[in-house]
Order: sequence, then C-alpha cells, then structure tokens
Amino acid sequence: MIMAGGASLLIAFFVWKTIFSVRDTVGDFTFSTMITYFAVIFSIKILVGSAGIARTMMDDMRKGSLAFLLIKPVNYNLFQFAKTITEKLLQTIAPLIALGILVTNFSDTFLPPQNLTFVIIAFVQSIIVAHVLYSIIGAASFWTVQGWGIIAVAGRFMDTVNGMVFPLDLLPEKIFNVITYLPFQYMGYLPAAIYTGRIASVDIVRHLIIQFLWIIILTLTYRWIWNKGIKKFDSVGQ
Amino acid sequence: MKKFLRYYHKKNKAVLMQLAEYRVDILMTIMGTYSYTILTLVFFGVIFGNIDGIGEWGKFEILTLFGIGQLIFYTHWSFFAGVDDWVSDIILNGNLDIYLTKPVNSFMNLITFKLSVVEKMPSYILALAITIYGFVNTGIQLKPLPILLCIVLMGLGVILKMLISLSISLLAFWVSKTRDMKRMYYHLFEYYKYPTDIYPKSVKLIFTTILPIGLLAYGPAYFLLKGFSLNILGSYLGALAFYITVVAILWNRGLKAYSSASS
Repeated sequence: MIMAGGASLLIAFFVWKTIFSVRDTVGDFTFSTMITYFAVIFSIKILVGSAGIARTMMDDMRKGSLAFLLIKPVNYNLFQFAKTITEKLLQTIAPLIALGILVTNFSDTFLPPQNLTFVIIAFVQSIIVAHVLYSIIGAASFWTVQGWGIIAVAGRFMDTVNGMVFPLDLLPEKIFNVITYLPFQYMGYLPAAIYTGRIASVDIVRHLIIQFLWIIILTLTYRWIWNKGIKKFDSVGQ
Repeated sequence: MKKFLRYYHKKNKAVLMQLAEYRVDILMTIMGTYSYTILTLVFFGVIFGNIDGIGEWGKFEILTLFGIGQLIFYTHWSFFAGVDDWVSDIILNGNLDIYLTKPVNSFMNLITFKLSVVEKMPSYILALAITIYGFVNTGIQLKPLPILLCIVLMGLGVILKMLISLSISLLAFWVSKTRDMKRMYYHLFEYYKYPTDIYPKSVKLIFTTILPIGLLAYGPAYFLLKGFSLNILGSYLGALAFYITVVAILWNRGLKAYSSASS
C-alpha cells in the first residue's frame, strides 16, 4: 500500500512538474504547495482509505459470519472501529517517516507543516469520519447481495470530492461551495489544507468543530441504519 | 486448434449462462469500471479547467491517450481477465492440475479461461466514445495509415499487457505472496495515462523497456496523433520479444517446480 502510494505520488510529481515548467501557478497553487499537498494527501490516503471496513461488513453479512460475531460478548461496531484504529496507527509510522524525510531533505519542494497540532487533530478526526462513512456504505449490504460495486462507486465518488484526486480549490467556485456543505472534505482535504496553510488560522477551529459535528451526525445516521438492517438480517448454519 | 476452439466455445457458453444467472454481478462490474473512467474524466476536466496542456500534449490529445489506454485495458480484460485475477491463485491452491489434464494446450487454456467480453462491453463502448471524442476534437485529419498503425499497436499492446501481468502471476510458482506485487503493478499502470515525454530519462527508460507500461497506450496514441516513429515501434517489438521470452522461461521452469497433492 505504501509502495503503491509512493508510485502515485511519483506520477503526480512528474505530471505537476511538467505543468509548472511553463507556468508559476495553477489556481493559487505554486509547485511547492501542490507537491506538498499531494505528499500529505497520499499519506492521509493510506490511513483514511477505510474501504476495508465496508468490504469486511459486506463479507460478514454475505457469508453469515456476522451472526457468529454478534453472539460474542463484544459490540461488533466498536470491535471493528478498534481494529481499524489499531491497524491505522501502526500504518501511520511509515508514511510519517517518509514525509519527514521529504520535508527534511527536499525543503525547497516539500514544505513543513503549518499548525501541526491542528493537523494532527484534523487527521485523527478524518480517520473517524472515513470509518463511519464507509461503515454506512458497508451497512448497505443488509439490503444488497453484491455490494462491491456500490463500495467501488462510493469510494471513487468520495475520493473525488474529498480532495484525494485533486485539491478541491481547483474546482469551480460554485461546486466547491456545494462540497463545503458535505462531510467528504473532512476525510482528507481538511488536514492537507491545514498542513499547507490553505485555511486561515481563524477558520481552522471552526472547521475542526464542524468536522466533529459531522462525526456525531454520521454516527447517529449509521446507528439508525444498523438498527434497521440488523432486524432484517438472518443467517443459517451449523 | 480446432479442438481448442470447440473447447473454448463450450467453456464460454458456460460463462454466458453464469452471467445470465447473476445479472446483478454484471451491473456491479459496469458500475465499478464506469466510476473509474468518470473519476478520471472529472480529474482531467478540473485540471484542464486550469491549464492548457501537459507538456506538448493538449487536453484532447490526453483524452485520446486515456481512451486508447482504456481500450487496451478492457480488451485485455475481455479475453485474459484470469491472468490478472486467478492464475496465481490456481497455482498456489494446487488447482493447476485441472488445466494441465485437459486435452488442449495447457498454457492457452490457462490464459483464456475467463472470458469477460459481455461484462466489459459497456465499458468498452465508453472508452471508444472517449477516444473518438478526443481525436475528433484535436482537429487532426483522419488518415487510414495512422489509424491502421494505431490499431495494430493496440493489438500488440493487449498482448504486451497480458504478458506483463502473466509474468507477475507466474511468480506464484516460487513466491507464495504475489498480491503485493500485483497491487504495485496496478498502481504503476497509472503511468499509461500520461505521455512518456513528461518523465525524466531514467524513469522513461524503465517504463519503456523493463516495465513497458508507459508504451502501452503512448505508442498507439503517438502513431495516431503525431505520426510514425521507428523508435516507438522498435521499443514496442523489443518489449514484446523480451516478455515472450520471460513468460516462456517462467512457464517452463515453473511447471518443473510445480507440485500438488489431493485427497
């Protein structure tokens, strides 16, 4: 995953280097801010790309193993959340070291973080937002037989509107304004935007509070869907 | 050959019957592949809303390149889908015996055992539409020779892509975990979307020789948009010869190393 992220970052590097060879800015991005944005976003993608939970839920429901997990003396959702967080924390080490090396050795190109504390808070909340959003998609498997298409489509849609594919600032203003009302930017764009100093200091706290409120709203939505779905769920076995 | 075609026909008839039974699976596959194409188009839309071109390639040239890459990808997937997905699993699970004992060429049987033409048809149509739309808007005059060269190179590109994928899958004869290598390869495949001119010489050399992903779509697109290049044709044929040799060695040596047991 890390090697794959590295390959994607390398492609982005060459593409943007070519683009910036004939111009100084794209939107209001310089080459350094653009490359730093992508370096941060690829690190985040490794950790926030939680489609795994949607696939796990789909498999558990299709194969009936959910029934087996439900009779265990643990809360299924909390168990999955703890599993995700533990895995993600372990996976955090390599990309952070890689980012540190880039910032230290190529300081002309890779910029150091602005407001590191807020970056960390936004980053941790991003993991939670992504986990809950993908859990909602995974819960769709209560009503569908083959869920991977939905996961693929939703994952790609979210990648587009959460800033993983391109900085959201490059979108036309009207579309960007619509996206700011949705939770997706809080999956990846927010920590990357804080890191690169694209959000004014006075607005950062407001964004972090909104991000936290989205966690509450999405968690309540998920619980409602889960309660509906679990009543419908049945499985047979020996 | 006749025996193989008869066997292939019957096998594919079974695949079609299976698809008819699981129609939702087809819909899901179409949704998954369409979403990738649409996401890339959105990306290009946003990028080219802010810039005029990437290197010496304009928006519609890049679109044509992307469309051609998609056509190669889907043609490969239509006929050789198993090479990406199942060949390594078959080797690792010891199920290769089933294919070796069939009264047809084992190698051909293995690489063509999963036909996905029907599943990939809608994606193929979208890729063709993107290619035509991109090419028409470049304003380049339609000439038969560049089109013919482009189609020939696309055909070779499908074979080349199959050979690269197969060489990774065949490593399963010796390595138990090829998944990470495949994942890495899938991500590197993204290199086809951009002209190789944008990469530094060393990177360009790797992606046009040892791992010729950069050539796959670039070669046919270059012939169509920029004209004939002996250099590109030579690189293409050289890469093909190299990978045919690699696959032949891996297959023959792999079979000698292969063993399985059953109850």
